[in-house]
Amino acid sequence: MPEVDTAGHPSSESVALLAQRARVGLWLSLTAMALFALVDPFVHPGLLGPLYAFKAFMVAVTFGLFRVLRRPATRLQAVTAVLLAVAVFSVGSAASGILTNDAATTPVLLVVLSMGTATLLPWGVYPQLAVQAIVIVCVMWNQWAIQGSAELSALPLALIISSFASVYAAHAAERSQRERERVEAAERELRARQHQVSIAHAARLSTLGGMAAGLAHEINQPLSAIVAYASGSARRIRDGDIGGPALLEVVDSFADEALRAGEILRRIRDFVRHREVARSRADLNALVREAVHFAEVEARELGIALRLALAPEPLAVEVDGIQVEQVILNLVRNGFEAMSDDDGAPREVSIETRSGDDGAVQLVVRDTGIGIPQAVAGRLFEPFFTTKRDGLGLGLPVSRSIIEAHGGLVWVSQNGARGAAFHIALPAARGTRDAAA
Amino acid sequence: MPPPEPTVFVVDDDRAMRESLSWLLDSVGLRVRSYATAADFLAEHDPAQPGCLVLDVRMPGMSGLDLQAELARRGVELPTIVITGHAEVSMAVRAVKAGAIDFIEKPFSDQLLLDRVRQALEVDLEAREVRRRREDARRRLATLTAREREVLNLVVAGKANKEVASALGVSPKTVEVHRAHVMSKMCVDSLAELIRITLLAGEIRENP
Repeated sequence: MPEVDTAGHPSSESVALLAQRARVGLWLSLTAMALFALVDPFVHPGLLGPLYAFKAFMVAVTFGLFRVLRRPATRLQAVTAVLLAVAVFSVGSAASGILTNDAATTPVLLVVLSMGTATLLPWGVYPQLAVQAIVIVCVMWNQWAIQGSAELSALPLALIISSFASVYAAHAAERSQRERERVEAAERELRARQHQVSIAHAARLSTLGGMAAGLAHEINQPLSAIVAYASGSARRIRDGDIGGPALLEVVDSFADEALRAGEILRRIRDFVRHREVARSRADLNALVREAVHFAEVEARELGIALRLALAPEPLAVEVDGIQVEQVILNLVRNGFEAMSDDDGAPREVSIETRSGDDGAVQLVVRDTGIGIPQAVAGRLFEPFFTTKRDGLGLGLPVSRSIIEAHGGLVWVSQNGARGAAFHIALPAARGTRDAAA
Repeated sequence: MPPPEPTVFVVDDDRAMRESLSWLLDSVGLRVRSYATAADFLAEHDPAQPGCLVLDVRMPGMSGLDLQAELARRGVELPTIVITGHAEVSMAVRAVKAGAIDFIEKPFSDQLLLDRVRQALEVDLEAREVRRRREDARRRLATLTAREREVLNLVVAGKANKEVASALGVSPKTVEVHRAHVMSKMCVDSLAELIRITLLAGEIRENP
């Protein structure tokens, strides 16, 4: 993405546009000068020497400015170059008019010049005001030198009206340019977001794939219970040794177990659904609990203790809940994998949440695994960098892009003597403090 | 005292699994006791109680495999049926290596489970009978004097009375008296029976 200045539009792009338009303006001016140069031998055959000298000077300045405008470093540089060109053309035109005793051509030429800069250059009101000042002074000088002050009465009014028109035109041109840039920036932002959403979705699918066996077991559990309840009931009914009320209680248990299986499927579906970015107010503690539902299946299988130390109060954040769950799940599963070498040491992953002092909420995932070797620490968040045999190397980069898209931070530290701690800070939702107070 | 009624011990951390298994086993008149953790089971288990164990391999804390190991360490021989989840062949293999007599994959048909449980209960009854007879034989062996043990060892090794007498440096007459005492203390009438009961007690040595 291009560099963005505080006014909200890409500065280097607008300078480039200004320079490009200014070069077009210089070519137009050169064409006009060429036309006058062709006509001069017929109209003012006696004054060709001085007239061509003026034109040669203006052409020399124009080519000098082409060089400057080929690659202007700053906006100020571009604007100064254009004002210099305007000044040289205006003075040249006024002087030529005085030389040929022509009071009609100069005002027309200079009004065309000022209207030209106003409509061609998206440079706002102030540079255009400078152009108007130069043009007015030059026209007045031209008129005064030829006709004297007595004839000037109607001219200032005409110049003021034309100035208003051109300043307004400059203002409108700049505004429409800014609007276009804003729309383009918004489109770029939207594309970047959609890209991030797709990557995050792919990473969720991959995460879920890794947990498929555990989740299948989790669904098998209620199914097995239903089968056992049902066959136990069938035997009793066949033997005629069960009454309605006793059976009713067991039927309720069937239903509970079927709902439980359905709930697991709902979680899976919600987790992998591809959808638009949807930020809403959520409690970070609730997101942790939802993510832990997935993780605890695996924890049980691996014999790892999963401990929660959540803040007692709700921690309101403005986030895409599924994406944040994805980050939590990813960090927890990384913790599991860091402890996969069973060397008899206690194996525990803990998740802590708390509200920070700086209007942020924090989440820490600690493990008691192998920790992070120095050689690896700097590359942890690089895409496609992995220390796992079957890892993609997307988990941490995707996690970081999600958290940063939410205006948060991710960092890693040692967890005391053993293991690693991954920290996340997210901005608290506005209005939390007031509600808590 | 009549032997206590065989009981199926269900150890599973999942409440619904425990309750539904109890409901199913109870429907065919089996006595069931269920436990949420391996530790609860160990704390309450009485080795004198006949029965079998229906065990979930995946449990937090002490896993099914850990429980099998602990029972083996304590010398408890309880026929064990391990229930495994989907596609956990490696875990099932480990469970069988650790002494499980069978494993069943979830979800299972009721008939399969009931057949396996009945089979396990029979195995347990037979094993208990063998153990009872072995204990009996050992108890009887313990009543023999040192000299009678020596005579027994030589006799079951296939030595004739004369050979025994010369090996021990006593008269054949004395050997005959010892031999008669051994037969009556061990409650047997023939040499064949004597060999069988001594084998059962696990007391035969290769070379006297």
